[in-house]
Amino acid sequence: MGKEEETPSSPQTTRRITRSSAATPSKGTVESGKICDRPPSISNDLLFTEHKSLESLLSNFPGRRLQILEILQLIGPPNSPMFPLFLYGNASTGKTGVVLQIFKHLNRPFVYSSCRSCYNPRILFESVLNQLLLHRRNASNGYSSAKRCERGADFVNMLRDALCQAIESIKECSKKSGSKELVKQGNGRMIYLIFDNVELIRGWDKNSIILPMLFNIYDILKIPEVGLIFISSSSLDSYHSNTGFTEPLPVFFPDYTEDDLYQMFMRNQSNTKLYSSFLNVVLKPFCRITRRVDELSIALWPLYQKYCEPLNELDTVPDANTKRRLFDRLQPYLTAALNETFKLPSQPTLETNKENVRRKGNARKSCFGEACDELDFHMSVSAKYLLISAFLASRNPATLDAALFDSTGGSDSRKRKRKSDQASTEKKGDAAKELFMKGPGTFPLERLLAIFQCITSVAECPHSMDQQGGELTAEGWDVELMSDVLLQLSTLCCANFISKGGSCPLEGSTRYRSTMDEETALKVARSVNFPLSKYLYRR
Amino acid sequence: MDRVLLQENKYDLFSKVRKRPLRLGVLIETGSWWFLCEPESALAQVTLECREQKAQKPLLFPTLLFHFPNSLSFHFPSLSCCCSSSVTWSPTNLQAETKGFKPVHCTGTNYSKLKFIISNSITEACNNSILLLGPRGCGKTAVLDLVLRDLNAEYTDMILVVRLNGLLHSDDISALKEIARQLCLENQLLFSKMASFDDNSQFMTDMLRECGLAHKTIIFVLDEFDLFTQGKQRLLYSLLDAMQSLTSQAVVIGVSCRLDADQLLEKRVRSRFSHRKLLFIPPSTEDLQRLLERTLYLPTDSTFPHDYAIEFNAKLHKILNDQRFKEILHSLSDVDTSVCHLSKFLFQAICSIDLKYGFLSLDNFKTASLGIQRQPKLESLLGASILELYLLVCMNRLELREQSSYNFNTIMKEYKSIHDSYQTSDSYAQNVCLLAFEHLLERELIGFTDSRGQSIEYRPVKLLISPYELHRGLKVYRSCPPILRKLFDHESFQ
Repeated sequence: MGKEEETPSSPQTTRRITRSSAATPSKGTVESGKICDRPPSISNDLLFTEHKSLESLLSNFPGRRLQILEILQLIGPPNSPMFPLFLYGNASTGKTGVVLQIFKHLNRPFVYSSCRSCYNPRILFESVLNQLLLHRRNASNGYSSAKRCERGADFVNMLRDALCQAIESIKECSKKSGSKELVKQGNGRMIYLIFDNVELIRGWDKNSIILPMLFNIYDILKIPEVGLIFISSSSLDSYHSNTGFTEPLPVFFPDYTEDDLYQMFMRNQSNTKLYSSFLNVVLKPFCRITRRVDELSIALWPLYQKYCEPLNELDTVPDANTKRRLFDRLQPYLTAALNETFKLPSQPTLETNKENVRRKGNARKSCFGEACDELDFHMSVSAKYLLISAFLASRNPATLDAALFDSTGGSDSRKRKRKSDQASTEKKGDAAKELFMKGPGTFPLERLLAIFQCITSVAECPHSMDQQGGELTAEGWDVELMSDVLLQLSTLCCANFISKGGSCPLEGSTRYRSTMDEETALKVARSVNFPLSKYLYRR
Repeated sequence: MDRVLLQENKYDLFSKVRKRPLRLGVLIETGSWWFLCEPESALAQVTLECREQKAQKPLLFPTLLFHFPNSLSFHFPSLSCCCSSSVTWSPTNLQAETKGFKPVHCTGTNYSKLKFIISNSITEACNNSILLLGPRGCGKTAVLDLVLRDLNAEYTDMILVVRLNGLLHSDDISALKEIARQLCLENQLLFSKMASFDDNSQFMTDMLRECGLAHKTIIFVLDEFDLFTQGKQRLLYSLLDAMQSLTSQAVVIGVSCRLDADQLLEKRVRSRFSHRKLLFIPPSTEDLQRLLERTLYLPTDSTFPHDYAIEFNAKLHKILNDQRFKEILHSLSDVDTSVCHLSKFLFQAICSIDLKYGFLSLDNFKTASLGIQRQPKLESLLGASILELYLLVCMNRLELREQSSYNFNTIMKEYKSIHDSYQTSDSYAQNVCLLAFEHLLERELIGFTDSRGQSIEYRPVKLLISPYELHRGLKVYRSCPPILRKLFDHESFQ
């Protein structure tokens, strides 16, 4: 969930740093310096230290000019009260970045708290109050908050007190200091509260009252010196509640257009000509899939490396001929990359791809897709068997178990299969549709263990026969395995390979479901040399 | 009327309706206020509360029709105010407006009625209770504040106001704590945070008796009154029960935007409640016009330079009489006629003043009306990528085929079949489509129909936008592949 639209190679700080530093803008500088023991004040804690001009603000956010100007207008000149604002737009459209940079530009005191890091009402309330009361949680106070606050009622009372106190101190400061100091103290006597990721509050169920409370808090407080800004990824109409609320003023952040994206990616590039010729080729097809900056920047980066590969120096200005040559070279990668999910390929796979491409010469089939036959994770053998048996239990109908796994029933299964082939195609279609809709089936623990035992015995039998051939030892091994299997199963459940469903109303036992897709299952089976396809029932 | 569902938010209505579109009887619109209820009771209620009904208005929202294709009938009577006689606005000017003060809308009759009731119980030393009902942003609290201010001036030191808000104090413990806190604050007593529920409750009854003996009236203002009726209503009961005794002297004022707020009360509470109700109704267009003029014109005798104020007013006068401005105002009041809505609109218009020019222009109002009338679904549809549009069209085709439930796999099948038959260039692998599918979920253009379940591919989904909106979106979308439009039109308008 990236929100910041700094281009990948931008010299500005990464998202994490901007965000965390946003909440307490100048804390780091104050604490690291020698003025560590200076009492906290509004000018230190609630303000950004450096000022930013409007031009640099606008140029920092290509494609966000209208939104920035609109927000600036709505916030207004110093000392002007405002209606609560509601900024909304899809993920990765620069809402948080724009607002924080605007406050950097305006140089006014604000309190920022994101509902993502403040994940329940108490933490949210306390975070706001801590910032307002200039309270820092550190070792000396045992990382405790300034006030303990769980209920909305307490929050409003404390917030009112804290706000009055803060506004009072701002007023005094501006009275004491001359006009020169005034700029330093921040413009005006307004204090702004910014709530980010408001849409997450909807998930804090049973607290459905929190959301209307936050939206109504301007009316409840009745303090004109407070400005409220809500940032959300979903629009106001998804915030319906039975109580309703006075709607804040909406400001919409549309998704970036292709031109905006072009400008954004062009920022901070060393070789603009080369990169622009690259973007001309790449951006259009990718924009048909997604226009999110975060995903695009991840997808474009390896492609650009590929694009630059044949060039000796990176600062060459490509002419038409080289451009065509580079494009021809990129083409196979491009089509493959379009059909890949946007993930950052690890370095080794890139290397192997390179090798493969060289070997195959100008093969049109790229190696991005077919890349890895091996599993890219480690797992114990018994866990692998458990996975396979869970997969089988989910895919195969329970009635066929006996036929598939009973050593004497092999021929039976073939017969039955033929029979089902002869059955009406209609029924078959229905069943396929059902599988399509329902997905993998559920199974009880007993069935899983039974299949597990069958397939491990098939795999292990040759060995044990060769070495000892005794039934006793085989049994002993099984017992040992069984105690381990339950542990393995819970591990797999935690890793989300197997999901634990609700209990069956008739039997009362918990039912499990394999969430693995067939491709991975086949890979796992191959890694232990298990003939999975032989046991898989196909309709 | 217990089944009446009151919504002041049209979005609310849509989301509710979408869940059960066929049970609808009548949809009645009163300004910004929507009733959704059984036909007979709705009409009965409406005729009770409104003296006259005007002729039918044309349908305002074509989308509405789309949502209720099977409902029986539609009525859109514009209900005029029952108390439209004298409306006075408190003086507000541009300065006040830019400072964010809301213009006070005091409905004459409601103001005098409320004042009469409260002052009566102050002078006669009796208890009383009253409900102020009306949609959000119509001045219930504003009128109440005005009344309390005037009474405070009239009867100094005879009134104690305790304010509670349903959003904050809906549980009994925090409500009583808040009452004790405010009473302590008013009487310069020391408030103990540690006091228990019983302590606070005892304190309240004692205070009621003491104040009654001292001929002081305690006025309890319960904002969002309907939220106090959740749970066991112990607070309401103990409040109203304490008022049964002769010694106490208190007024309970409930403010709510649910018209059926008194029906939510328990029997033991209801029997102790005097059924006095004051209805607040959104102002008529003429009133809005007057409010607008009152708000926007600069006073010539203020700190503003005289010449500037006169020039400003002249320019403004020209705009207000412009036909185009009237259209903007009309479209605005079609959606919502509450004062709150209007003041938000004016705020936005004033914010967009060009500071160098210094005067309001028609463009300011135009941008403000665009800014306030958002179409979130369409906006997020226009932000979607081409692949996401493909998936939406596929889902629409599935819905038109009346497939009862479908999931990502079914959509993928449809998507592939489209590519097989039309040979489009936008054929992507399953995992890329899954990514687009997740984006759609994030945009809330589609949603899961079940609450929990297994992996994303198998969970049944549904469209959260109507085919009408999708159609419009495809039309407006720049660089939308023509095949997509064709596919959509072909399916829906055969």
